[in-house]
Amino acid sequence: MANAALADLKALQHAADLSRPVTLAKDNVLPVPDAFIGLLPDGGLRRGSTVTINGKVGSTSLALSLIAEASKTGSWTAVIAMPWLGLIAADEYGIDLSRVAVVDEPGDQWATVVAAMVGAFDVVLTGPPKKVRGSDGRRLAARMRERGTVLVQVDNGWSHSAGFVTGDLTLTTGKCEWNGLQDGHGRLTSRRVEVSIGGRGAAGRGGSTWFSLPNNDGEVDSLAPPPVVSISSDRLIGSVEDVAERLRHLTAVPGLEAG
Amino acid sequence: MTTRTLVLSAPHWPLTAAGVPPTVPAVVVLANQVVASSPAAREEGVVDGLRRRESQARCPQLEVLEYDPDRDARRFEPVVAALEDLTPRVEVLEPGRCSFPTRGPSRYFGGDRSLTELVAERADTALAEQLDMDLCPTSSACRIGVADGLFAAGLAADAQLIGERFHIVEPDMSPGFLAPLPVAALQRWCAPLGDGESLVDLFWRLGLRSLGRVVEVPVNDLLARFGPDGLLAHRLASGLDERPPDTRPVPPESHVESELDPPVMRVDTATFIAKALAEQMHARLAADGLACTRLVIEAETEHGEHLSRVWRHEGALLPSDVADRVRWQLDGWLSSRHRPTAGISVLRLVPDEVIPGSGRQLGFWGGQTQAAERAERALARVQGLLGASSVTIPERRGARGPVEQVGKVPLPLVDLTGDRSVSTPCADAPWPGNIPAPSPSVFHREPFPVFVVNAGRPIGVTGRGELTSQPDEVCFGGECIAITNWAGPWLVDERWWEPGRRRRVARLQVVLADETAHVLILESGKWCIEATYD
Repeated sequence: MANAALADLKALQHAADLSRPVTLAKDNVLPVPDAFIGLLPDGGLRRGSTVTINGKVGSTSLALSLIAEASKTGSWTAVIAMPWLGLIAADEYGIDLSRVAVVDEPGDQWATVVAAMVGAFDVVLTGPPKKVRGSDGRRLAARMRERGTVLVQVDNGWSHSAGFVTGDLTLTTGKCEWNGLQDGHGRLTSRRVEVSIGGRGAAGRGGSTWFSLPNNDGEVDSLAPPPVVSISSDRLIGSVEDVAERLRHLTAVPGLEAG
Repeated sequence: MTTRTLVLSAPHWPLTAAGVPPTVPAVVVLANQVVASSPAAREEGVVDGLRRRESQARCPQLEVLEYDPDRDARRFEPVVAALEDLTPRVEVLEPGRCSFPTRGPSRYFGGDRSLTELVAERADTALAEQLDMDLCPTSSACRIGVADGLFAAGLAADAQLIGERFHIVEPDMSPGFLAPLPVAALQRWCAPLGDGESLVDLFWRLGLRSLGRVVEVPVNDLLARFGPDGLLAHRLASGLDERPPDTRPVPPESHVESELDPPVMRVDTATFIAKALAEQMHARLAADGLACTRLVIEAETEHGEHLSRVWRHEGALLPSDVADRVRWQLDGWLSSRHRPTAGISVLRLVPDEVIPGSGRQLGFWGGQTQAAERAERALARVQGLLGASSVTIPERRGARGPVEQVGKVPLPLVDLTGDRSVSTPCADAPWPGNIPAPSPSVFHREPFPVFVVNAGRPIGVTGRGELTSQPDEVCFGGECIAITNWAGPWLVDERWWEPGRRRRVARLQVVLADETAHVLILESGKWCIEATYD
């Protein structure tokens, strides 16, 4: 009797296991533009994670382009404590302004405001808060993990930060080059930015990639590192194939550089 | 058959609610526009609808207050409570305006005039308390109108005769009172027409410029041409109630209530519950094809006190409207001088008057999504924390400068869950003089003054739109950074036809030696960093 009941229970459990909706890892990730898939450890923004973006130049653009794909596919974005943000740039990177709400001045209530947004908004984009207590930050991080909201923090140096929630992922912009200006002519068209990654887990490996942010079409592209190719003068160039072979050789061995 | 109604209206209520005496020039602004002005400000030439900057130009000592419907509603509660001894059926129309049917009380107190005097006395005492004065100043004293029907009474309250405290339109004289009033009154008083503005506009262009002229048109023709809106306009203009009285009781299953455990003493906690209750009630009514126009908010406290208040709306109340009213009401009760002695333990919403709901057709492909509703709820919470205009929604507008291209609209003016457009019609028009995309991602709200120099000499832009020499360096705070590359200038000469708002600027794109790129702007001889490409 007892055995039969136990068997029933097992069968029931099995049935429950079979019918439970399967959550794949990719469902727990907000999409990012194709260019970033290779950079991020999960191929996207893992729900519930915290991304910190800093760097002297280009961090705001990087943050905007990072969340653009999620916004396009239907996620709501809250912009908090970033009164200086140029929303027209957000529009150009592809963020759907019809799903954006802005809180410019949360004052001392930054943590409370972000906590209210968590769960209702998929992405919370925030500038440096005036001050956050460590315990508030930890509680917030726990709430975000539970509700699946991604917090993107931008620290671009235009406003002074006092404290932040520790990031799972840190993106830092480095060198930057603008194209399009010619001493009084032309206009800014595209930019190349070096982005390095750091943080917990797989992101801890580090590494850096060049992006065009934006490219000539106003979108983001990943780039090969700038070619450091120079051919020493004592070698004679034979044929086109010869040069191509030599270039392949040079790019395959980084650090090889002749006068 | 119309209900004889008394309407009490407190002039420039948002300012009285803020405790500003009428002798101080002050305005309340919403989205940079004046929505209410004190008598002293009006004397200086400030009118409603003016922009903030312009009103400050007309009256430099002007005190500018932010629009705060919560404050307006909270402070109005004592005024309504003061009238409650006279009649049990006081309806709040909006903060600063309430009404009640006069049939019973008028007979009891000996006629419309003595009732009106009594009401005025009670209300003025309550108003004087708001202003911390012994006597309510004449310019802030409430105005009262009595007439047949809410519409006529409201207009009577607004159309004060000189030297008169109140305006009583004798029974059956309402059509005569209404006839000479301009047709815009249909829109100004309550905008009861679904598409109110355009219909009033159309009437005006068709030559129906007074309410009397509208009444002269046969009602069948109005109905045939303008549909239900035309019929409503005709009814109102001829002094009838907006719809024939409906005596059927409201289905009791549409009442919603929530037990609050632990009892609520703070408003922000109650806001959350209010929103959920409002949606529940709306869903139940919508299932029966009904919409609510009059709502009773009831609350019971732990000590058994029973509080109740009627709110009325000319159109149908949307869930967000209901939630607002519940929040205001709770705020009024909890922060009034005679606040309940214990926390609120039961909150109940009772639809008191319903109309057939025309409803809103949902978009076939989603349109109104759950995500939008969730977002709206969260934002309501933030509004409770930081104030009504703390949350804004971006809107693309056409402009020649990068900063003005996106405006921020306060959330109370936007319906997130409905159909809406994030672009004004002129957003995609060509705006010559604008710097093409990509746009800068960081704007400097405080102008960041700099010097642009060539070999130490400041440079400018000539009248023909050319730089006086090549820019070499940007200097600020005694520090100079070399310009590695630049382009421009982009010239803008805007609004030259409007003396106060003319703007003549030149913009320059520069890349500096520290790899940053900026937009520099030259206005009246001074260079500033306007925005940064970050």
